[in-house]
Amino acid sequence: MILEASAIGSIALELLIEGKKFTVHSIFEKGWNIIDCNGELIFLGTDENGTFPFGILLDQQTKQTVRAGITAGDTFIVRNHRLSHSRFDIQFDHAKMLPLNMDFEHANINKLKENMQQISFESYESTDFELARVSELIHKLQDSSENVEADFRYFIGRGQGLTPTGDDILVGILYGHFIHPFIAPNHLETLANLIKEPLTTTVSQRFLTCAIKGLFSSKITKLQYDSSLESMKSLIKVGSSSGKDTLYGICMTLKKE
Amino acid sequence: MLYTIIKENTYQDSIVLMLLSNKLSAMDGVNKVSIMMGTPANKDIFKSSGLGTDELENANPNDIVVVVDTDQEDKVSEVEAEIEAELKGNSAAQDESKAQEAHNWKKAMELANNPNLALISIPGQYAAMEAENALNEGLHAFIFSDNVSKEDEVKLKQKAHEKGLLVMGPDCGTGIIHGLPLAFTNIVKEGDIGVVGASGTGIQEVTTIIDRYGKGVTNAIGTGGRDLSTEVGAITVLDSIKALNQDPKVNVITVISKPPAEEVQQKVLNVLRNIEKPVVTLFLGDKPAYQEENIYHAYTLEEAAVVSVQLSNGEKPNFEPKIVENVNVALKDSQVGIKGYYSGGTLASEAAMLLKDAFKDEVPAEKKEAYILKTKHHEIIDLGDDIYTQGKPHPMIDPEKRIEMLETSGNDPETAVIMIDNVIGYGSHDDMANELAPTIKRVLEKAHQDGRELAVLATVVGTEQDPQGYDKQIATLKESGAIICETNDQMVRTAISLVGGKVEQPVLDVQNFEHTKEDLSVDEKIMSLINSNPSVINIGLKSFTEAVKESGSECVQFNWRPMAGGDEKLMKVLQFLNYYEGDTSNGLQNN
Repeated sequence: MILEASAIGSIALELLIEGKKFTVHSIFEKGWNIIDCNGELIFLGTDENGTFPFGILLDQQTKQTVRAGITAGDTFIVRNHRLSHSRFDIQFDHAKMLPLNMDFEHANINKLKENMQQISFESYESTDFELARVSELIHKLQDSSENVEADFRYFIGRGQGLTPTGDDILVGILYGHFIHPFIAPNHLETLANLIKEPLTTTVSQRFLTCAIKGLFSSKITKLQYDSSLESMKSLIKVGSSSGKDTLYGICMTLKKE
Repeated sequence: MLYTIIKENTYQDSIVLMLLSNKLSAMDGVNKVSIMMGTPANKDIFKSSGLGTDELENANPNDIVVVVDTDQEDKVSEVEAEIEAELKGNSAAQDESKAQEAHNWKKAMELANNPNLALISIPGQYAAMEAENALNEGLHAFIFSDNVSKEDEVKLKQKAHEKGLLVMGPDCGTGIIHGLPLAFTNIVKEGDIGVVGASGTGIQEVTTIIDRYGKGVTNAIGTGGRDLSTEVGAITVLDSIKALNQDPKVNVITVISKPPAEEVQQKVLNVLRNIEKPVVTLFLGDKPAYQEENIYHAYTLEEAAVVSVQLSNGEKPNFEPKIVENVNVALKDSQVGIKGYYSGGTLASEAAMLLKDAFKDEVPAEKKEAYILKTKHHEIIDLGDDIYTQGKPHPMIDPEKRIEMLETSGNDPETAVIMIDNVIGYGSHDDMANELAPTIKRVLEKAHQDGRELAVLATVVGTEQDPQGYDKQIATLKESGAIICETNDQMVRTAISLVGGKVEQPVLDVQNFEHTKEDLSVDEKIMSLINSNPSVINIGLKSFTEAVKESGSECVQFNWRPMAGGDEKLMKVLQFLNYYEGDTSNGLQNN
């Protein structure tokens, strides 16, 4: 059966080299991940959790059809602009490109700050990521003379879920940096190097490597164009706590001054 | 005591992990439990919360790690089973669907989720019986099997009609129900054209042309070829027309059939004349003699499809037959023959009809066995006819007979044009174009060596969504030297034109007919069938179950085997007892 992808992210497209083999890594309700021999990951699925630069967007029907017919470990090969599985071909040459949404200057920081006040992050006080700890990291990140490796090691891979809480908060902090730059370049480099180590899950690694380059899910970049409470609530709905963790990171970053 | 469970390279949504964590914490005898991905930071958390174990060191960031604190060792296996069940999540759903197989009606009905359709493909002598069982269970029946007697068909269809159900078939090769392709069918876009068809490849040709014109068909209800016979009286055709009429999503109704018995044709037309929606009819083989205000009578399959599209677009019907122009073939005077080797029966009939029309003078009155048409120069063969398929797969699956015919006719110095169809979609060969291409190439080269030229025309019945890919099939055939025609109509007209003939398209007046008022109501069960995703019980060919599931609908596989060791007489007795007075609750079940 030949199916059509609706849209494709730039990182996903770069990875889809003719003849390259991908293995089904993990299958979820909203889609599935495939991974190449270098551990590079592509998400295929719907946009219920937003779209990703490393994602291939499928409509509900296509997602359902394929998801019902694959199991972890199955192979997809790139052939004639198609991701070819023994039972399906997903055609992507007609798919439109997902926008990168790197126009961070559009963000209305004051409005974001104002609306974020309506969201309570108090529950983080009783976790490993209390306000003081996150504030301290953000503070250190501004100063290039600080040593932040131990702090990063604390955050990376820490917490519940496939994208552990610490990673989601870091993604939020990185987004805060892109809309209002503050992190010293050497710290970004440290983070980039640490992510290469086996400190967190493959899926989380993927989110972090993208975030360092300024590439975020559409649920996050929506905040640039629409700083309303609704956009924030729609981010909060992602995952069991991932969305909220990310928003926590963003909020703490914006609050730093 | 602490126990560590590591699930290597296992991934689950955060939500699933959280739910699992809550579930395990609530288990009796579990003092404490924690589930996290095995990252270095999380290992620290395990340790600092008193759940550190030596085994933890073996865990990697992509493993799910569970540490349980319990005083009862036997709790660990319970926890493990719970984890296993929960983590399977998605894959568990797949396993469940694999387990959806039944060996009797009772089990099938239990396993299925509100089933409403039985897809039957068991040997013909048993098919009627199981179709009756299906009707007794309140299911519509799609009977793919052939060799069901006409008497049984009448009985089944009458019973279905009384119960507000639909029997599609027997010998129903094609159908689309609420976008779900059944049996040998193409993947066609959904849309506002509703099709009722008593011919398999006729439905395929019409629906795929509609799809390629950018419009769609959500329901193409196959009725079986005998539905319009005097005995059956078009029971399924009429119920289907009424259902499409009631369906607000249908804007155009298209009816395809071979010419029915006269009184049946009048009955069908009378119902159609009661309908306000635009209608297209094609009684393939009849040359229409008139048009009606609201009913367009088409002559060919392409015409039926094109006019349906035009009506769906709110345009005035306007069909102009096309041929492939500029065919660069220099034929000798001695090359006069058109040879058509078809896998689609209706397409072969259409070819014969157009050839007869173009070469009226040389058509013999009697039909010769094994030929749809045989004249002095021309021949049209339906290779799907029983005479060619005995002990062999159907030509849509097996290229052998066509390759043989191509070679033979290619060597015949009288042959001018060879026509072949390539019907793709579910049930057909994976890559028929690739099987036929080398022979086409060879036949053309051989003719060239003999100092002749030859035209091999080909048409592909399919859509780009079909597994074989429409464009890919066309490209392969084109590369072999075949001349591609968009439709069978165009292929036959092109062939006729190459040997100097022409088919006149009828130019018709609009006539008005009196009609008697007809009750257009239809049972809710039929409306529900065409308006929702069918939940199917598949009795017979397992590949149909897979195809239904691939299309995203639910399907329970019923691995049928004959009761009473296949003794038909005894089976009928059991059948009678099973459904005595229609009571299924206490009846014997087919075990």
